Amino acid sequence: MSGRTPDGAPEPGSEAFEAELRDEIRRELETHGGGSAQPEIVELRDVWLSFGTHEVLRGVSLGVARGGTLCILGGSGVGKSTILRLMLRLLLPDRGEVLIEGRDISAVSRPEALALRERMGMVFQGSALFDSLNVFDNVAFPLYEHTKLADGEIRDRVEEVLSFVDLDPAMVLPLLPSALSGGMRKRVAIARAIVHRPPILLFDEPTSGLDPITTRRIDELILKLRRELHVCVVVVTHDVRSAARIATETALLKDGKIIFSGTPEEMHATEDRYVRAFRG
Amino acid sequence: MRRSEPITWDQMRVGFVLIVSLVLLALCVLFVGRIGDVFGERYQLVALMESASGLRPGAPVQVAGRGVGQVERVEFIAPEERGDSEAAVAVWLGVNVDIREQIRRGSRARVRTQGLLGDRLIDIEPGSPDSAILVPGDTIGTAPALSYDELLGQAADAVLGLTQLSNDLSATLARVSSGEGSLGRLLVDEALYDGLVDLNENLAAVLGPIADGEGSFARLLEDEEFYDRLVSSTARFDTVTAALAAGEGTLGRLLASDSLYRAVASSATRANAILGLIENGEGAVGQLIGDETLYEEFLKVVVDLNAFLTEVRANPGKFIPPIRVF
Amino acid sequence: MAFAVEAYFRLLVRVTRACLSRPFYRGDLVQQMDTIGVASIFIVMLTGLFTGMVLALQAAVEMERFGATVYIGRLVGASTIRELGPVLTALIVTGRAGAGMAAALGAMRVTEQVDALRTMGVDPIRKLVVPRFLAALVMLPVVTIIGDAVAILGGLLIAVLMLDFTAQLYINSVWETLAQTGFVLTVIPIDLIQGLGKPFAFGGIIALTSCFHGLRAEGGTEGVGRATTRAVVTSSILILAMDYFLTQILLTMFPS
Repeated sequence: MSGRTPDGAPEPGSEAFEAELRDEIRRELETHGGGSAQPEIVELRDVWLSFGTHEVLRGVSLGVARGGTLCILGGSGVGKSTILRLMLRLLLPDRGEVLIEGRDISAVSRPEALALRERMGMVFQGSALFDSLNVFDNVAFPLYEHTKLADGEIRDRVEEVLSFVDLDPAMVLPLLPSALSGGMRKRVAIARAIVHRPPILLFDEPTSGLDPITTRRIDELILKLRRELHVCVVVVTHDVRSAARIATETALLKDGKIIFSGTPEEMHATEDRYVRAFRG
Repeated sequence: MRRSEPITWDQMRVGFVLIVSLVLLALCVLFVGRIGDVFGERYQLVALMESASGLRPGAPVQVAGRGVGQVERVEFIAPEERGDSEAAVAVWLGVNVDIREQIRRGSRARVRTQGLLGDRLIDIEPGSPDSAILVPGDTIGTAPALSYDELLGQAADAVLGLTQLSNDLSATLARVSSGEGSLGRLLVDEALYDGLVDLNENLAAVLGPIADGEGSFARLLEDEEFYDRLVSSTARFDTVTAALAAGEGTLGRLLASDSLYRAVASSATRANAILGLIENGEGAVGQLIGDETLYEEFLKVVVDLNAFLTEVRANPGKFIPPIRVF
Repeated sequence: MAFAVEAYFRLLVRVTRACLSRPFYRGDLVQQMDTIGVASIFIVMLTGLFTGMVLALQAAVEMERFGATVYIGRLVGASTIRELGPVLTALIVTGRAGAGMAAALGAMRVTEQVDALRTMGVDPIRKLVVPRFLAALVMLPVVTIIGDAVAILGGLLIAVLMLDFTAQLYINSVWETLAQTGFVLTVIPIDLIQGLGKPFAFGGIIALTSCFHGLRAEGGTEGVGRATTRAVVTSSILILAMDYFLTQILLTMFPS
């Protein structure tokens, strides 16, 4: 499956591109970030949510600072993905605040919420590429929607981000998502999530359904994103090993509550029985 | 997706289909409009009628059977505005201006039905050329609708009368052929036939000698002098009748006179009345005809005539007087 | 059920509002006009052809008994343009394009593409529903016109080839029946208002119902299948019911 992934050295000249991208992100952070030393760029404060009688979240509080990677761990069906949907305002909480860059996205007006959404890029579990559009149109989609860039500039940007996720633009641009392997689809989805250069990236189960080798490559890609683009990453996953590789912070969700939070090392060292059991 | 999109294949297809459908639609509107005559300029005429007979707005208006417009609306006339006329509805007709010359003062509008389903329409008779052309808003004359129902009613009456007549006739003929009444017996009785045969024979015997040039009557037929006299007397007769035709002389005045005619007419009427009485078997003559004795008398006359002719044959000179003309 | 009806009307309101404001996805509109309209034309024409032919045939059999075969053009024309054209076309398009819409939106829904749109700040109603809705509103009358034309042509074939009509006589009687119902604004036959108003409404029903069920799809591939079935069944029933009410309304508006 991953054998077809065109891995290997990035395009010549892509290093220059990455440097440029880093500069740009840094500049953006300076304009938007404010002055405080350790601002929590994404933060949940005592969030409650229920579907009918089923309480999914019962007073969840967590946060991640700029440049950090938060991995939210938990078994299936505990509402991990729900947290991401709250951050994007695809859902509204019953109670509590969902702060994006210090503003409660669940409480602001619709246009403001849309502006906050643009600060985030989301990689869905099944990649969620638009299957009627080819790779180019998929990746270019956010740019056509939200920027006034000319066709040429958009083409350059799309090729740049595809190179960044280790795909050969010339090869994949005209393909439809159905012609791609799972790993490639995930990379295209990441490219689409970062093409408009958001400071926050959200991943829903980025490695589920992928083989171990591809999983590793995606993990490396996430590390590369943080290292080179200095974005803040929130990952929802059930894969503890993967989390251990990429996280700077972890949080374990059980029965609608965060039962553990700390660095991967702390999680590794904890004596809590459930955490240990979950860790395996 | 791209900012500057070239025209794509699907755009062309969509455009093509849109154009085709619009052309079809336009053609439809055009043809229907032409049939419905909606494009020409129209003017209004009003027809006042006793009954709209089911006319509806949109019903065709024809002049001499050709469509020229349609009924625009049918309105009741307020009872106080009706006055003496029987008209209860005003039918507004929209008529093409092109055929204005056809509809004149003497034109008559009438409701007709057309086709199997009995569609109602207004048919207008063109007016005669010497009457005035109707102007917009004028009231056009109407003719009573030829209603199917009325027509059928009248026909039914006629058929009933005919049936009655033929029943009477056959009853009468039945009586005649069974030999009842004097007419019946005349036709059926053999004695009468025999008498008539004898009479015929006797007549032949009398006329035979005349044809053979025997006797004075025969000579008369061959005499030239007699012919000349006949011609001159005919000429004189002509002059007399000419004078009569000119109303000259007593007789002429008599013929030309109106009072004579009236007198004759009245006597004819009276004679008719008398004949009527006779038919009904009233009075002496009537009884005579109805009576069987007439037949017996008639038979007797025939027999006597027969005997008389036999005698004439035996001795003609005794009966034929010298013939004189004038 | 009551909740679904409420949600349906809320969708209608949102779609209507979205139609009237920016942003507007023109490219998607044209593409949907292609998939809903152009792609349905062949099947609509086939339907029209056979409907027209069978109408003429049936009419000929029935009317021969009254010696009224001259009315075939009227019967085919009137019934096609007023009823059969709009309804049959709408049902065919429901089966073809409506099912496709529901399946496509259902698949997008269960694979989170709809959510992806929203995270990219794109309103799925504007991006997905409005183009389909407008395309159906425009294309249903368009394909109905073409279907009607083919149906009348089918009747003409039977009238000319089997009943020894002249084409002129047949076509004229089609126009006559349209002219007889009367005109609106002096030149537009009332029958055409009926014959085009109906597909316009049916187009809205097809798009709205299909999108509604598609966007509510849940439970993976199976859910998409269920949504598609529901979309076709619901919009078919709505079309037939709507046809009755529209006829009633139009008869009240234009009594003849």
